[in-house]
Amino acid sequence: MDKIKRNILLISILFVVLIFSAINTLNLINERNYKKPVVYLVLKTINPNIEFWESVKKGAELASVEFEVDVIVEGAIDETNVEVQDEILEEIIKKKPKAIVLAVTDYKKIQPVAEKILEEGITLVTIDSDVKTDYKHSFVATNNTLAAKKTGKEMARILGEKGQVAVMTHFYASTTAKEREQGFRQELESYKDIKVIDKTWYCNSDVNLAYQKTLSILKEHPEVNGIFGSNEVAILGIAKAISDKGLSNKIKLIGFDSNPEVVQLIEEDVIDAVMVQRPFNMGYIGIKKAVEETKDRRKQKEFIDTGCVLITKESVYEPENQKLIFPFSK
Amino acid sequence: MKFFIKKFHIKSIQAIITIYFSCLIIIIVAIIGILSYYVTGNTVRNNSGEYVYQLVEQVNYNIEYYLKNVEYIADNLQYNKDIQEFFLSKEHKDEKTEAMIQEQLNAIVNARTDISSIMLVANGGSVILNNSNYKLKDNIEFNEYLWYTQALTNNGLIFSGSHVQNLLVGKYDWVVSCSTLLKSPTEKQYMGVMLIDINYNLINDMVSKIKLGEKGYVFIIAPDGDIVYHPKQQLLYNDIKTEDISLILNSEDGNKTVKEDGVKKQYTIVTSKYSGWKLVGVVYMEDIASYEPYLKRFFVIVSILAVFVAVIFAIILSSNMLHPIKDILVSMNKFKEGDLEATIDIKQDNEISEIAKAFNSMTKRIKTLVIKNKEGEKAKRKFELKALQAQINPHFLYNTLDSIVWMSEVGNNKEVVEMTSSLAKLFRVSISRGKEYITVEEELAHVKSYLTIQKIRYGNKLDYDINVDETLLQIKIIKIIIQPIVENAIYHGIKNIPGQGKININIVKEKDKMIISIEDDGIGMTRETIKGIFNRSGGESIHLGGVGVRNVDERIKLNYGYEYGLKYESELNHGTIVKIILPINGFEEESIWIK
Repeated sequence: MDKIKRNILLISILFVVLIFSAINTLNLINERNYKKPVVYLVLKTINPNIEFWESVKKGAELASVEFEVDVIVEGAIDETNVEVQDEILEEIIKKKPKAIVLAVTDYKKIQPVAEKILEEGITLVTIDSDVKTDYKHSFVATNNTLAAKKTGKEMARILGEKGQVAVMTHFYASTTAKEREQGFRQELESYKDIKVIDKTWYCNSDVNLAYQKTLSILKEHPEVNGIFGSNEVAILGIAKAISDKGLSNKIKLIGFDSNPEVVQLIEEDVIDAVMVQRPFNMGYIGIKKAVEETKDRRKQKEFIDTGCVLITKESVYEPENQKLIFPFSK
Repeated sequence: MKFFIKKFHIKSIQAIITIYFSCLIIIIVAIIGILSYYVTGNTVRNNSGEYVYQLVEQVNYNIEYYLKNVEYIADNLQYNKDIQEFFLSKEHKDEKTEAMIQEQLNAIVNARTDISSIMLVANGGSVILNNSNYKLKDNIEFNEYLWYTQALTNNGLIFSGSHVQNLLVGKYDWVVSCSTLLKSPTEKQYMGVMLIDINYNLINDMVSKIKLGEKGYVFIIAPDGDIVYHPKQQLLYNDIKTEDISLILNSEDGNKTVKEDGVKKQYTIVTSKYSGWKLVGVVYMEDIASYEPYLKRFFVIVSILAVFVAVIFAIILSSNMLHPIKDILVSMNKFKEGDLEATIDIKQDNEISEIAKAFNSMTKRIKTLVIKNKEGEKAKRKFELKALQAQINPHFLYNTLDSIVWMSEVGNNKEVVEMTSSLAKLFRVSISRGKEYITVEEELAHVKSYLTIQKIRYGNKLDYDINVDETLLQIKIIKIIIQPIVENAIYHGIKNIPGQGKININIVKEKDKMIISIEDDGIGMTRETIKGIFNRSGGESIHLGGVGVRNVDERIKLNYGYEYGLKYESELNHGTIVKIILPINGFEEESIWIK
């Protein structure tokens, strides 16, 4: 009888221990679920007035919900301030996050810190602009060369495949500017009746400078009947100049990126077409890629072209373009 | 299972019970687990479906309530006298009225942040905006706009999807357009079309905050499939995300399950009867099923617990059951070894105790039979000894008779008489009417007769003396036990010494025992001779009867038990003392077993 009593006691104790361990495991599962992995999103700028990056953020936010991660957005106020981005990245490395999604401000200057990120075993996905490195990583961006080729083709089409074209880019050191210029020039090489002026004008992302330089283009090359602007700043300056000179009908204007002002100028036939990127998708896919790569380290590192859309007066209000051209913000 | 048991040569009942028990529990737990898993799953799905439906209906109600508010504004404007006056006039050139109308419209728009703009388009093409700063774009053909054409052909308010309004210069607001025909209530005549653009913010706010589970969301599509609101609208245009719009448009209200990139989603569709919009709640199945890992783990733990408990119970059960069996086995082995007293202590009352009871009664019966058998053997032996003792040695008779004849011839009449009468006495006691027990007195008479005969035969060579405790004379003892000893004393003791020998017979009481000692001063015996006396069977010719010393001892032991019998004390050349030890109260016939 005593033996049985002892056995019962033993069983009860083991039972209680097992139940407690069961409850513990369940609690552990709960806690693990509540702690989402953190992905840092480092942008060229966090200036809320720049709609491109706001769209990137929105896409990233959506992805953070869908892929169950916490996205922390960081970046400098001023896009050209490379040192700030470098410092931010150094700070982030210390926190040892799972992944960093990075829009690189400077192709060369960011190289050391980017390589440090990868050496630390942190997943790095670059968006919009890449960094110079031999390390493998994924890059999510518009294929600028390809997009620029499309704008070149459109330029040729609206010029009737003959004429003289000038090129203005936003910054001589910018890779995106370079790629766009190259793509545009390459495409137009195949049209024998179109001459692209070898000289490239730089506006340094300044509307007034773009305006001034356009005036000098018109002065130096009066026969010009097509101008390419590498971003919305360049294109707005050019548009203002040719509109002031009353040359809107004569000079075809094509470029990259858009804002409401650009749209208005398209509607007024000053600008003929702009190539619009998909920043929302960039943010979304950038986060998605980063999450996938942290989950599976053998995942293929690749370049993902988020694509682009050529907007003309006719296609501005197409439903699928409205969201691209008019980023919805409250 | 049998295979398993055979393969591992599991013989112990305990192990087999444990294995079967555990298997049983595992099967039961598995069945209960699977059933409750599915039941829980169904309940959770149903509950979440119901919950999402109610939520989406609530959103729909809120939106309808708001849109009805817009309709209320539209209705009010229909009855506005200025508007009627302005639009019913042929020219629409009354600038003063136009300004008044504009002011009224502006008042409405300013009062309500949710309204982006109001536009009145007259039949003739003239337009009144709510703000004089707004400028209509050039070359607008209203007939190209759906809100315009649909308002002309339909009654009531027409709602567009969300879009950027492209009528005004430099104004690119995200709006949902509500348009209706401007009718004169009195004249029943149509005056134009009224367009109220409501801020998309409003719809966005009402819907975007709703989260269904971790990833779920709500989206709205217009009856023509245009998206009114979708949180992932940009991804939809790129086919990064897809929604099955045609399925939704063709579905009744309720739940639909769809797959997108292998991920299961559940649509909860609610159609607004007022606007015709379809509100769709999207829930990811993995959100609904997020309880599954817990449930799985829970069942695994419960199963382990159950099996654990089962094993322990099985062990206790089998040991409880097997313990009595082991007891039985121990007793059986003891019995096998010859312990007739081996019985099983019965503690419980069950099948096994039945076995124990059967064993106990069996051993009891065997014990009885064994004792009976022993007694039988004993009785048989007594019978044999009795028969032997009844025999009379013909040599003794012959010698005695020869002596009588010889003495008669000599004329020794007195001695002849003495010897003959002694012989007669000897025989009388010997036969004693078949009785087995005689009194000490009778036994002594027998010995005296014998000694008388022997004294006549041996003359002065033999002398004897008998001393007896008078109180013992009437005690009954088995007969003819002294004579064989005396005979022995004569033949082995006195006969072999040169002079006269004497035999002393003393009968005394010692506690509850009677000691008959027969003492001779003969030659004495070695230890070997004593042994020989005991071992020799009673077949020797010199004896009076077929009764040897051994037989005497055996008979005493058979009758009274092993603590009684003969005791020899002998010293070579000095003599021998033989003590016959008998119980005083041991004369009853112990013949129960012979019955």
